[in-house]
Amino acid sequence: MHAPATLLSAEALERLERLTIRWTQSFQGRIGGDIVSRYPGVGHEFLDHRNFQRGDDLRAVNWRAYMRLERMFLKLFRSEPRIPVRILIDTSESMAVGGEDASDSKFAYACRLAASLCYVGLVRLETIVLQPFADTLSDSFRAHGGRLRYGQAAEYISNLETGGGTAFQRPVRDYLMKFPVPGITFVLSDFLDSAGGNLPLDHLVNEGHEVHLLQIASPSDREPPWRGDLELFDAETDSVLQVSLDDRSAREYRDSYDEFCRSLERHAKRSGAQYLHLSTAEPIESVLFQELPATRHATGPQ
Amino acid sequence: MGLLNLALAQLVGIFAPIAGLLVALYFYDRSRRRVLVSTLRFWPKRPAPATRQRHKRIQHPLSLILQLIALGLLLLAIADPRPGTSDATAQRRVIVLDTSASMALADGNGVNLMDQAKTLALAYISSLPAGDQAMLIEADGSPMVRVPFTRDRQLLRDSVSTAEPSLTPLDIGAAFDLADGTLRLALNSGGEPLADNAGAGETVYIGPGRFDGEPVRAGVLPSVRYLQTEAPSDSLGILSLEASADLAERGKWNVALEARNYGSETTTARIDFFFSDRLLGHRNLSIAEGGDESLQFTLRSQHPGRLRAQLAADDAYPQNNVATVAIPAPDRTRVQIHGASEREFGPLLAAGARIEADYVESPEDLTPDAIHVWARGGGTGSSSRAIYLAPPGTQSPIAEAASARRSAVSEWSASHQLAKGIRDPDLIPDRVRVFTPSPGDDVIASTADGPVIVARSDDDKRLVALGFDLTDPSVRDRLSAPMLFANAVSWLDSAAFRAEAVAARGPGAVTIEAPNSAPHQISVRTASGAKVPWVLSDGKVRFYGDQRDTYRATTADHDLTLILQQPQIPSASWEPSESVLRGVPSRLAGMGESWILWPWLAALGALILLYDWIRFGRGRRLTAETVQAASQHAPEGRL
Repeated sequence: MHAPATLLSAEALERLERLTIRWTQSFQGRIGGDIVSRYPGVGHEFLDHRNFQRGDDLRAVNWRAYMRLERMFLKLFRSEPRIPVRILIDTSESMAVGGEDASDSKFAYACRLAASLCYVGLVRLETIVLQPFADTLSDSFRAHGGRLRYGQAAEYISNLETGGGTAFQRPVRDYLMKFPVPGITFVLSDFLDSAGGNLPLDHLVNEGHEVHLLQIASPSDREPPWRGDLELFDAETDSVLQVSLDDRSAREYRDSYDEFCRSLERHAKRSGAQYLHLSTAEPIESVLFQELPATRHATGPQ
Repeated sequence: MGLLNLALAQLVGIFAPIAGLLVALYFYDRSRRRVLVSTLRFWPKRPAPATRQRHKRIQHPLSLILQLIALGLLLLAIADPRPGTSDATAQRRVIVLDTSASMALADGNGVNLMDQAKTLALAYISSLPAGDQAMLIEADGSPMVRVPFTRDRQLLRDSVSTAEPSLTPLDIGAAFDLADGTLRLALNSGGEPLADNAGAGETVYIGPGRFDGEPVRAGVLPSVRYLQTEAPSDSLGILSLEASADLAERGKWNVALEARNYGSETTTARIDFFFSDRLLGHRNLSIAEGGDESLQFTLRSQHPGRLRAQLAADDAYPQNNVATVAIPAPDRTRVQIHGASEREFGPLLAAGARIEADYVESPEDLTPDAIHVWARGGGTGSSSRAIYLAPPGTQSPIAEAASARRSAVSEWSASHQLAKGIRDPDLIPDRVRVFTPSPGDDVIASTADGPVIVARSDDDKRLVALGFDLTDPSVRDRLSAPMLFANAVSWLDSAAFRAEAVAARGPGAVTIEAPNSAPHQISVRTASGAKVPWVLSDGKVRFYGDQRDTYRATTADHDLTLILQQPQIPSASWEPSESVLRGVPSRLAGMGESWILWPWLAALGALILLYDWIRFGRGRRLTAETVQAASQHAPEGRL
């Protein structure tokens, strides 16, 4: 399945300019951003003094204090780091399922959401990395330099295709090797990893990334609309299951799916990641303006 | 219980395959469907045998039963069941709807009689029991079956609603004979079979009962009903307008008009006559109540034109207050006479008003379209129509045997057209020429010496040779001489002495006197040239003109142009006997359409289908999706 050719309308882009991507944890050693870090660094606003240690930059020594006290103190300044924003887009075959047509699929929804986050970041002069993945990492796209680069990013997203199965183990390992510098990581996926994706996702948090897990589900993923004798085909494994679906079976299915979503949410909270369940029936704008700000201020008004 | 639109076998025949198809589709719908899902990890793992068995049996038998019941109800609604009726009590009914010209009239209150008759007919049709079959006959001068026996009430209603008055008077005897014949035919062999004890049937006449022709034969029908409309209200009407060409004066027409007073008191009417839309004058005509009057006058015109008679009567039916005929240009027959003067030949030509005589001195002045008369010798032999009077031997077209003295006529061919009306053929003068006719020549008169009057007819030539001169004073003054000459001219040109007439009459049977006509001389055609069947008997030509058309009838003596567009309103009234029923039967009203069940059956079937759709079909899924959508937006429902 291909991504939709038209991702966001001009009106939607105009509304997105009011948003900015925020992070909740501080990152060390980066400058040039809009958000103040709690770590000292190179900046213009005075933060504190500390004792001079060997190897410190002599230019930051408070020479007036040295003249009065004959002790060397080092001036510390607030830093405004520029944090890389990386968006992991699930391109597995399971993302192509759901909806009446391709434009209603989870993959299309994920592409629109990724495009929206990308535009929000570009407007604030952030560096955005779009990283598709399925059972392996695909070629990524780095966008920076303002909103003028959105067109290239949108073209890149529109050329994405689904393929392969969902497996977080190898993609997460490769991602951490490819991007050792911590940043904000949005994971747009249905998280239907048959091997269990909880442990690999923990590695992202452990390596200092601020992780936002955005679980995208279609209405039929939670509430199957069919009844009767069904022959179910797994979109990723081609496995076949014959079931007779009645109200009771559908209820059991829904309970099982809800339990999976709850376990994913519990695990995310335990490991310090943010989690949000999104239905493709929800408009993208309500997610960006209401759902995401309500979690931990991943996005919000400037 | 009877089915109006379908027989029981038809109902079963339609229901069975559709029900079978429905069951097949039901099982197909309930068969295992293939669905692509994101993952199989959350689906309940049931034992395979249980799932396999499940689709082989009916999961929702109630749904299938409801659908079959709904199908049956809908088909039953189409069949239109009528309770309380059955074929055992069904009857055949013949509706004789009067569509004669009188139905175009209005009653005293100005209500059109045709509308009244339609209302009565529709009421009668509605009162019929469902099982009865009905036939519709449109009765005018030539009654015809409009709708054969059927139970389709709507077809009968539509046919009644579209009935229109014709121009012919009602022949009520023929209408009832037709109804009687169709009832007998249906009971014996035709139509759908009725039960043994089925009624013989009823014939209902709807109209004012005004008729022409034969009255109703007594006892012709077992059961007759009379739905009488109001009596027509019309004061005056023109029955016919006829103009006959005068044979004695060219361009002179004898016009006769006949009018009828339909009212109840003597009326004096003014009739205006127009020729080519110019008023000629008027005549007042006093007509007694219910009577006919006629008037005659003479019209002289050397030019063609339309003669119109306009009756000044302000009554309910203006169509019969006017009559129009087309007067043709005077016809002529040119006769060119060579070798005789007008003084000698004038008496012979006095009988033919159409004959235009021309006396020529030289054969070069003759024209080929004229009849040539060669007197006292002469003749070129090139004439296509010619009369030779005592031709000399060298110029005679028929070989001349000898010249003989007078002797009595020994043989006279009285059946030939040249001898028509001549009782005294002894015209022979003192000297006469005797011919030697060829095979195929007609010898009209012979003396002891041989043929003296011979006629020859080839493909394109006709000639008559007389062995004596008609201008001879001993012959000219005899009565037979002009008759013989006129017969000769008439034989050479059949239109020369034919009586010409134009007439506007009502449609129907036409009788023309033709005592001297042979079948090959008779022709009846419409204005478009189509042949019209005719009968010759007792010296009369009869044909039937029931269309609004112009007919041209030609006989040996007459050339008649008939415009059969004059409405004919009969004056006789039908007086039914005491056994004839009257009025719309109220007894049948409770058994008719008040028991119409099909709308209720259709509604019940639709309701059952709706319930099945909501309970078992897609409607249930829609409801579930609505609940699901609502739960997704509810705070407690979001994960």
